[in-house]
Amino acid sequence: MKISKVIRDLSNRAGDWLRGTGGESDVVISSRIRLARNLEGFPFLPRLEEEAAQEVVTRLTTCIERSLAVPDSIVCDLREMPSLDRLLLVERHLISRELANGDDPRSVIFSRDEALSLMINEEDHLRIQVLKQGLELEVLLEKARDIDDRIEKVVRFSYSPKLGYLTSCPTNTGTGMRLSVMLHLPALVFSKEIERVFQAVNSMNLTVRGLYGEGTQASGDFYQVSNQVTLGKSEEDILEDVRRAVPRIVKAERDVREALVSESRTMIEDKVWRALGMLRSARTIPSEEAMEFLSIVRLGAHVGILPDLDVVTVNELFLLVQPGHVQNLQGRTLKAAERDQVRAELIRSRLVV
Amino acid sequence: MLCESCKKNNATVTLTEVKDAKATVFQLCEACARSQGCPGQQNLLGDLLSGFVAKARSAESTVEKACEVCGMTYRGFRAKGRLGCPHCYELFEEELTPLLEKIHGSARHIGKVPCREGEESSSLHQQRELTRLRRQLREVIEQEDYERAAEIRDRIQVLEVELSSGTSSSGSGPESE
Ligand SMILES: [Zn+2]
Ligand SMILES: [Zn+2]
Repeated sequence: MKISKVIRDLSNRAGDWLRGTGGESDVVISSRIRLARNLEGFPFLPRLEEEAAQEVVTRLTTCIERSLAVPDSIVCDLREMPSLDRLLLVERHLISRELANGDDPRSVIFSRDEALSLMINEEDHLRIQVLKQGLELEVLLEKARDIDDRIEKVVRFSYSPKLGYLTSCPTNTGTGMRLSVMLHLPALVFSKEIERVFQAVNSMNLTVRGLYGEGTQASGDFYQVSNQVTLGKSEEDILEDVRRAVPRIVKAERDVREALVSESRTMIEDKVWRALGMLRSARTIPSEEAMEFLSIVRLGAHVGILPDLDVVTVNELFLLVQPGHVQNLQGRTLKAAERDQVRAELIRSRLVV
Repeated sequence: MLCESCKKNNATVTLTEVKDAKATVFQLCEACARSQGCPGQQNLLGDLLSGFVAKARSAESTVEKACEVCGMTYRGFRAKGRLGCPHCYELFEEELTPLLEKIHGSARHIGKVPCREGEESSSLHQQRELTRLRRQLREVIEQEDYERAAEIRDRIQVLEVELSSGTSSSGSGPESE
């Protein structure tokens, strides 16, 4: 199977985890676990010579294939991959930006359904990523553990009884586990209550950051809540911390949505319909603007203002309007103005009246 | 304004660390900001920042030792926020323990034990026991039963020594510690 063909196939649909049809999908998009692991007998990435880095790639790829951990797997050598394709994988959260832009020999192995992705030579030799829509955290942890166990049967990871799995950055040592839940919080953003949520979440030893966009700016009002601590807590403890926090955020978002609709119905209806109107009629639209309108429309669909709108389409569009996707759709690099035009066309074709 | 860290260069970078709902702002020069761990590259590094700022001051006096396996120095670690190899964790244990406690609130793993084929099951057993004891330790400390905590701590220590010296492990190689 040609990688370019795989990439092309990906560029016009979203993975299941982003379709947003799981439980509590009005607010919870998906959940993700990442496990950081390093091969025994090799230095960590900052001290890994190119030759050794290549050996890490070869050895891990072979072991992962032998362990049968990834069904229907797609293997990509990222050094060989065009930057546009790498960008697409970043936008789909199959690889991190760091992995996309590194210089070392590096690879990614992912399952065709995109629920599983194994990054080789990112910040650590191996990052195991498991994604699932909704908030089925136990199922997610079970799956991550199963993959990890399978690979561990054929490979030895650096581990110390005292500090657990040893990682290049001490912030990941111990379980090496980062559990994140992706949330859509437009009402909290709109009402400026989001800061309070951040503070509450921080006090629970969790972190919040934007899902799309750089830094703290969360384009499309998507946020991810993750555990901060990886050492001194078991995987179950971490899961419990996140599980306890998320319903509180979900409730806060729903409360504000309800208040907005009951107290300012006309204003919200106007905003939602205008946003949909823009998306349906714009001839050119930058991605930031598209994300903003899509977010309002998604909110509208979930509070009953747009009952006939297909939410899955809207969810998919959040991904498809990203620059890497828009360009892949055309199969070539586009200038910003061209991208905005292609994007507007794509949105119009999907949001037909 | 002068850089708060080196007090020499002009501060051109504002670093904000948000932790426990409190934001602390640091005005740093570019070089110092970078040595606090490349802001923006990884959010997690922001969490390390306060540890680094404290370390930056106290570690000046420590003699520079380099890891005999990978060549990493503590200064090198501070500059990038990344260690060079598993052995670095042992070599810099003294400096890292307070840092780990600051980041995680603990410097003891109680999570997963590797699932290693060919490993003698007794070693695995000991690891599981260790995990259980550590959890128990936390519980009794929460209940302020310090006598019991001391007992458990002693048993943990014995197990750790046994495990790290590899007395129970089979031919599949010693622990990395
Ligand atoms: Zn300075
Ligand atoms: Zn080292």
